[in-house]
Amino acid sequence: MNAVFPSGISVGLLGRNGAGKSTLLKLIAGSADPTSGHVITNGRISFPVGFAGSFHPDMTGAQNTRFVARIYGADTSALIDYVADFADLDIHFHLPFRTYSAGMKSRLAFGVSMGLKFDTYLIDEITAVGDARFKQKSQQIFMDRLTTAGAVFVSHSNGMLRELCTAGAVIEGGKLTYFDDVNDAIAHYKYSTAK
Amino acid sequence: MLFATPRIISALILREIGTSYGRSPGGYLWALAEPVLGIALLTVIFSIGFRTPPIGVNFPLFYATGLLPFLMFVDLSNKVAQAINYSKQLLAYPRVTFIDALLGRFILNFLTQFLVAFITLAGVILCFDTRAALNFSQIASGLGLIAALSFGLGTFNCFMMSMFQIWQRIYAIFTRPLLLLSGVIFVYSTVPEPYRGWLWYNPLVHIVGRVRAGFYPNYDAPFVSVSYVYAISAFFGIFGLLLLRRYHRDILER
Repeated sequence: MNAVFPSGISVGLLGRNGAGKSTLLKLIAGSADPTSGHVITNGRISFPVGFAGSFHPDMTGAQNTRFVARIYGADTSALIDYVADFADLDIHFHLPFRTYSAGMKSRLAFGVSMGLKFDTYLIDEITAVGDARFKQKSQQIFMDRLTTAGAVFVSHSNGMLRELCTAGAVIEGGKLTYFDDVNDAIAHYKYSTAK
Repeated sequence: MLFATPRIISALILREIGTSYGRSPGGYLWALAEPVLGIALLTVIFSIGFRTPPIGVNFPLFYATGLLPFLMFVDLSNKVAQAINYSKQLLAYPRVTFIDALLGRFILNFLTQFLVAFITLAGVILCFDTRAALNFSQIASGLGLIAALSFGLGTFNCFMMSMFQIWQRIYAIFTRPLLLLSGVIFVYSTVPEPYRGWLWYNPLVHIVGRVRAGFYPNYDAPFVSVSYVYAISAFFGIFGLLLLRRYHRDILER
């Protein structure tokens, strides 16, 4: 597999379940090593913001947020305030992460990543969860971030991909095909899955 | 990326301070309870049967100088061995490496155990007429040995326990008699041959001997070999680090 993802551009990643989308995000982030070959990146790359998340179950939402702020050298209390306001968790913000519902988990994960400044955001299926109001709010903020940053975005929702991404890439059978227009990627993906 | 970074290590330490002892009522007092109760129990039992301890005149000091280094090693090596398990989710951040996890756990728990030992020993020396004469270079040397052995063996066990679940049980069974075989209750020099020769290979015997030499002016523990303890620690430590470096991704993927 050989591919160049231009920086500053939002790339939608398509592929069947198990095709390797999440693994590719991990490779780009640097939290997994390729079996062979190299991944070369520039700029600040976010951790893969996924539904499963990298949050510790025994730590509260606030403690998890504080930890991320510290390791990325961000202002701790500013990030706490931002996430508390954005994720809307009320008292749950100060309860252990393991007690969270799926919606709360993704709200926290998305809030933390949006509160930090990255050059490239790696988002795994996260905006698909949550109620309508949250979806709208997170889309807005994400669009706002994308004016200055790029992203690699995994989603099964074609509507969201069209709205948020300019380019697209399809993974199938261990091969990646890159398209400068996300609509072409979606069309190619539809065609190949229909076969 | 295999560099330990002060910022990440301090974030891990702050997180551990806030979550481990902070959660149970009484907090850090529990860290003091184990050695204090252990010393009290041994003192009560043995002062009934004997007039004086094997070294010196004071039972609490004798057991404190044996039990504290022993417990320090046990606690510290176990904490280091559990480092990856303990921070598993946090290692998903590309910035956090397993070396950060090992060092963060080691530094915090070494300081905790050092404080526990300091408070306990200060208490014993202030409360009793112990006739202790402190030799700080011997005590510091003993602390160095504890730190090295705990980190070395802890790192090796971190690999073994994360890779093979069964190792935790095997290790627990084989180290159970360690309290009796480390010279904590019986002094090395009073053990008859050939058993004494075998005991020499237990690095904890050297550690306890060196620490006691720092408290008793007439006891210099000539059998202690600093290089032996450091060699064992380095052997397990380097071996453990190399294995973790090779396999830590596999461990995290499970």
